[in-house]
Amino acid sequence: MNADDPQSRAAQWAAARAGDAGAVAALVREHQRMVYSLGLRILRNRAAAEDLTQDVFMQFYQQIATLDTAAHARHWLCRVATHRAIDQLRRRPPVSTNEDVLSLVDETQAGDPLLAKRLRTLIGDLPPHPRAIVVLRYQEDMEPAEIAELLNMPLNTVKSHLRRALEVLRGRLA
Amino acid sequence: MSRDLEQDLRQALKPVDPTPEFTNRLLAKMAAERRAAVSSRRPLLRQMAVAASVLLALGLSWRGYEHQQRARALQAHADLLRALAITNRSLDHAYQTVHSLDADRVHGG
Repeated sequence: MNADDPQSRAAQWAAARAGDAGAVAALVREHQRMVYSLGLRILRNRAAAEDLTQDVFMQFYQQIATLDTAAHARHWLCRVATHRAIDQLRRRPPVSTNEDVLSLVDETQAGDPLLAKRLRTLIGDLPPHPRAIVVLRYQEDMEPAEIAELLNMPLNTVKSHLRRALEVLRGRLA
Repeated sequence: MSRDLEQDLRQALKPVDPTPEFTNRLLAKMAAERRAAVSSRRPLLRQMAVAASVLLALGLSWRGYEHQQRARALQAHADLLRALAITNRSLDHAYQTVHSLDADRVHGG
């Protein structure tokens, strides 16, 4: 099945909604990177990110019949993962271990790995909402308007959180 | 030091995959959930079949009861007609007796 072909995607989506295990597994493999990375970057704890990913996909599986399209599913997963991560951060922030910090360094990616690690640590020090906004903006490449819609926030609030977060990061890197 | 902070942020926040072991565990858990959902639907189907049988039995009993009631009504109707016929004959007989007695009294007296 060609995942880029709209007809194939529609067929795969219909099969997943009907409970086809293979189609559901394909959806999980397609979206788990986004969900897991949101959890990892916002919670800064690998185990907490795995728990969040599992909870989000189990909820997704239970509610798949209520989602209309595959695009809607991606948006739903992004929204639920982000809200759950913010809620968890506010309720009981997970503690980052050395292993978690090391796991955030991906030596295969281009650029300066030490700078990347420092940035991730600084992002992890931001309050929950600015942290989530920075992650959605630069991990998922979402526009501020999309982030505002996803977080149920006024656009200007998102923009000001983003601006202030970038100022803080610049100041701490200086 | 960062020349382009936004570019550096994109590099730092590149999405990463969970471990294959985690993915396998997740898919196994979802499969278990599906099996549980299917098996929990089976007793429901059984209960629905029992409920349908009870409803069918009740419907048939009601029809039998109605049929019985109708037969009794017809029987009662026939009994009533028979009673009326007997009453009619008795009245006829009494009338003729009284009439013959009157005639005897007129002719005899």
